[in-house]
Amino acid sequence: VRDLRRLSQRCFWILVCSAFAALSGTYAQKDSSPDIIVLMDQLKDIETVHPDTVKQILELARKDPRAREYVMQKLPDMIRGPESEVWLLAIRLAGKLKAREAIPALQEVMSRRPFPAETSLTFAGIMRLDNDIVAKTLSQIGDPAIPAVAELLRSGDVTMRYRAVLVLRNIGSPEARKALRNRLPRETDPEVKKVIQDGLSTAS
Amino acid sequence: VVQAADFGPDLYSIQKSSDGTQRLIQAFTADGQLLWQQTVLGPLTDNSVPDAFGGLLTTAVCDPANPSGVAAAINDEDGLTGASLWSIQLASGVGVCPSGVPKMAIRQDGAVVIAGPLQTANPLLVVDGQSGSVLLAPAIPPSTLINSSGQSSSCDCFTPVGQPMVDSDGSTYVEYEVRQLDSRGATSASSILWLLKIAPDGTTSTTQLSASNNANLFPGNIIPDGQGGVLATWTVDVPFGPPGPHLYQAADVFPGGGLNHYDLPMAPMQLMVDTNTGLPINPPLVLGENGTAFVSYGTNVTSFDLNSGAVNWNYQAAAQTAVSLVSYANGNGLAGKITNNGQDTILRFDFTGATTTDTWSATNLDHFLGDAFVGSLPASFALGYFRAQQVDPTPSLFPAPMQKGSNRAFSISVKLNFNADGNSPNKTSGDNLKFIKQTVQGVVECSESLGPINCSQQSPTPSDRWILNFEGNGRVYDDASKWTVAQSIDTVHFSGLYTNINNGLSPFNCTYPGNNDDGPSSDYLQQTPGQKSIFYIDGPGPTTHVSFSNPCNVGFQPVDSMTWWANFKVKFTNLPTNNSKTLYFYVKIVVNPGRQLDITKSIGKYGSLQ
Repeated sequence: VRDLRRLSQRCFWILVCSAFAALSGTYAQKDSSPDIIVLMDQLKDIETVHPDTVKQILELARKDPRAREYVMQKLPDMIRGPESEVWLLAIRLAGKLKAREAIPALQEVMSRRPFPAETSLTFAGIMRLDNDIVAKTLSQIGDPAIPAVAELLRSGDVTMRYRAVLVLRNIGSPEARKALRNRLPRETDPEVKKVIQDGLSTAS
Repeated sequence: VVQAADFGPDLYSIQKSSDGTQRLIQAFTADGQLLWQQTVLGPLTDNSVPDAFGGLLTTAVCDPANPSGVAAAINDEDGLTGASLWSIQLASGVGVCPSGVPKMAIRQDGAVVIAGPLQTANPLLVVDGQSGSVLLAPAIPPSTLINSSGQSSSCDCFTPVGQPMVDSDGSTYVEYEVRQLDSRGATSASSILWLLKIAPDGTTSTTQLSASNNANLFPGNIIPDGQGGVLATWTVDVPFGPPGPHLYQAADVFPGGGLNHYDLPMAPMQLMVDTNTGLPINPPLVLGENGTAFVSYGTNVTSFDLNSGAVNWNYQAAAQTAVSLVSYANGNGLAGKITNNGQDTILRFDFTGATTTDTWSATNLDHFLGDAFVGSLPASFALGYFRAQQVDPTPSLFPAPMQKGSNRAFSISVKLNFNADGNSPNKTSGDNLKFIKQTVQGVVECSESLGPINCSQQSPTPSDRWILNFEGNGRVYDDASKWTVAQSIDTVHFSGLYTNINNGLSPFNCTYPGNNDDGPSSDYLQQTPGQKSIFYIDGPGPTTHVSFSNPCNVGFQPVDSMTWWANFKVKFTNLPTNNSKTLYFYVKIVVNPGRQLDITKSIGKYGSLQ
């Protein structure tokens, strides 16, 4: 009986130690390379996000396709969410990752009023979309965003068309110029037309 | 010290050995880095001027041991290496060393206009700035000298030719005096003073400025009058008799013909004479705004109405000191300098002539750019670079005496209006641009006033900013639509404290990349065809909310205090000639704790911050 007790005590301590070691290992692993789920959870809440959370997400998503896929699953809803710090972080992530998966969500939130993209502004920054973070993000995504932006060019809202033209001008690729050229004969607003013409003359 | 053109080094320092037989030429960048240096043997003159390409034109005088040879030589040195690019020799007209040195002006296309001293063959030449080959040799009428034995000699080398000046439109103006001096018995002198205009296409025309039957009318300095004409000056020297009462004269020559002739105001009662040449010293001139010009005679400086010669104000230097012009300064003010025992001190005049004196001194002081001055350090020969209260010369077409050696008027005068004094918040009359307007990103402004503006809001929006509104106004000689305006912004710096999510204050210190293409876009640029004023406006400044996770980004946390600054550059370029003018300026915005925009410390100024 005494031997059995000793054996059970030993087993208990072995189990406790093993569990502790396993837990320690998990935490150590998370500390050195926190997984994307934890990071994206951090991003959702202003209380938990750290200054380098976005940087770590970017690193992981660029390195690991599965991590990127996870981020892409989460980003659209965050972009569709209310304007907040979290919303801004999600949009910036979409731009930095050139996230084509976020294009539909970005296209949707183009219907909101423009929100500043940069801390500093001169009047020329208006043309660079420094005061329009959603439009700027679409331009950062580049060519994959062109079909969605071209759709915005057909909007009945002149301001929306103007913003779409600026997105294409800032993309500046041959495909973007093609979209501008296609729009030019159909555009009815003289100011938007002029911005298209200016864009075509300077970008060529 | 010679200031270079836009290319190559920023400054040349030319030092003469004590015996005058050699000179040390050094090329420096504006921050004092020595690019190259070389010692030049032989009698160089003090007349070194910048060429149009960043190089330096030096002049060597006639060798008295060989007076029938070279009367003077001009050498062009490469700005980047100091290598000689070309050289041109001026022949003597009568086999003697001429009295005086060549006078030069640099055209917008780089060509060098050379007026030879008396007794030089080919008294006026225009040479190519890159090769030195002769482009034009406009005919100068001969003058006649009759000696006491009755021998008569006629030669264009006896016709005094003055300092050439290149106007904003590329026309060159130069005065010459056709004279007849008769030394027989009752000696006599008669002369006619002409103003020669050489148009950019090489065609010439003349205007008679004055005539005398008893005096030399020696050509003087010319500056643009800011109204399409020129202000021409000359001196009256009676060679055979007592001096007359009107020694220094001037005429405002109108662009369509005709002139208004008057005595230069507050001039000395005796001619100032160069002891080397025996010829009169011509008082230097600079142009102000709205028909104002400035002249200095050594003993005094005078502001006057160049249309009539009426005195605005006069400043008399103290005994044993000299006063001279340095640069026109914004608002019909002036920067001058007082020279006392070889030490220069900057003297600043406001538009009424009231003065303030800087508290520092140097030797050979000149204005460089914005708040920067160059000169030699006291008690040494080292080149010095000084920062002091800024001088804004840009509203004037001809703000510096001799235009720092180039004798070329600016093609454009530019004025940036920052409302620096807090009393001039309105845009210039004729400027129809609007700060508050609907843009594609909404209204991004909240005021039509110039200067620092608080557009901060409770939450981030496109117009939630602290701003410094400013206006650029270029006055051109031709047509506003023939110019382009291009602004660039250097790295933006901003630091301060923001309110974090715990309602405490957290620091931030950020930079934001500059942009070489920073407008102005057509919405903020006015250059109406047929008009002579170009306007553009801008309102740079930071958002008032930053991100809690990265305060270098826009976010929802309010900034509590900050300093934001950036250096800018704006270049006005004439499309037909490619001639351009570049201005450097900076904008600084200071927000005190509690989100209070500091309207005194928030400023726009010429120059740059480091």
